[in-house]
Amino acid sequence: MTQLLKGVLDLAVLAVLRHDDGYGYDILRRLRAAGLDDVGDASVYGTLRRLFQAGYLTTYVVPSEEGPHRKYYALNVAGRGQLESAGKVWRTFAATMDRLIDNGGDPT
Amino acid sequence: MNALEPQPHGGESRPREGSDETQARYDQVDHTEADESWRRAGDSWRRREEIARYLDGVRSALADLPAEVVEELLEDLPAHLAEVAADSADTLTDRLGSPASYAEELRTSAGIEPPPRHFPLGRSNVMITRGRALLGAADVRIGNLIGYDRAMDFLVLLRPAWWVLRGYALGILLLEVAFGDQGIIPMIQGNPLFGLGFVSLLVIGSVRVGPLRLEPLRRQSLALGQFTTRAASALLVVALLSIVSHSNSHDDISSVNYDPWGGVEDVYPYGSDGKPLTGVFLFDQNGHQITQGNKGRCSDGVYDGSETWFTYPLCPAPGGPRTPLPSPSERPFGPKALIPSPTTPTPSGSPSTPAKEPGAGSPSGAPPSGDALASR
Repeated sequence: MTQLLKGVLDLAVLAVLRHDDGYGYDILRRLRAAGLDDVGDASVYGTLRRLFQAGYLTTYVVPSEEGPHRKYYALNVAGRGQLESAGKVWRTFAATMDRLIDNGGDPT
Repeated sequence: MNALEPQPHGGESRPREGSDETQARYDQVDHTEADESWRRAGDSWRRREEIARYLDGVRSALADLPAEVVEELLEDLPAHLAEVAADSADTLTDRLGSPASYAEELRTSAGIEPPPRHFPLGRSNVMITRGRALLGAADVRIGNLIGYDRAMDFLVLLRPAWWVLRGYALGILLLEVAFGDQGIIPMIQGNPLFGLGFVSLLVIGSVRVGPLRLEPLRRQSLALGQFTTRAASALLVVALLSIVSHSNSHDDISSVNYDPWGGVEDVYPYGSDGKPLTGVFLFDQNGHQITQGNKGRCSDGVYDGSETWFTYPLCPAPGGPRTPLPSPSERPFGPKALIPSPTTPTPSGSPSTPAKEPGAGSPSGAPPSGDALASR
């Protein structure tokens, strides 16, 4: 599962942020709750950084009295666009794989 | 309370001495809650320590990256570690893996090239591949021995210490070249303060510089650059060790207290004509008689312990001194062609042998006067 995850973690993180902004630990929790329990903490943070560098995310800091200030990540317009297109690519790929597994390459 | 008495462990500070009344009052109060909150405070302090240590570990593992990148990567980490710590009682390493492995994963997922562990040679032949495999295996085995996945994970934590060492080594090396005679403590003209100041500057500079990074033009240059810096570092350390070990032995030789004449047991005086003298008294520049040597060592002489004066030679052996004298041309006295015959002085070895040369003091017992010396 870890190998598969490496390829699509970007998409997973984008998807998780679609409806709600989140901070690192929160995003991690959502991913795990969705069933991706193998995802490593460091990987999520690294992916967040990469996505941010690619221009798909914006960040803002929410101050807190008890602990360190939390940095929240949010999808911007480019991010939503990327989620859309990457999602399509994924569905096509998944369908292809399904077919392959069922028919073993037989085009019928 | 006597500070020297052993204190009870556990953070509890019950009064050890004091009246029974105090003890009774103490016993009446319920301390469970106080102890609880002390324990919780201790735990949270421990956790914060753990978080700080984990953070340092990750930072060390990323030390080869530019500072801004490192700060960026670590921006979210303290908050995350705090959340993880608050979540469960497991150690951070149990939940997240070692700091080094976390750093590795972070680096990779952030899209940064992993640090080259071995310098890539480009075209590797079989030997090198095998060597690298062996190193890799040793890496893991030694690592497991000390509680890490790989020994490199541990060594990477020592990176800042290496920066200190190379600054120090460079300082010592420069001082040795400029002033010589360096030991473990650097000195300039024998003054440790200036020496330490100079080396401290270099150490600070080395730590500030941090990881040496050579901007490569091509991939090949990167490998060469890395190899060069590592080779230079190794040479630096070797130079440092050789200087320090050399200084240790150097001290013995150049020490002021070394007495080059400490091994002298007997003196064989020769006159300017190359003839050996006997019954000779020797005096230093202060007029003190020279009594170098041990009369008791004379095996063939008769030593009845009665004589009171040191005359040379102490143990006149037939044939002169044990080791042959330097050749006539090397001797500092007399005509070069003259070869002194090692005529046997009186074999009795008794100090009462009459002196053959003027200037030798009389052995009768009277201390040689200044006139006798002046007459020479």
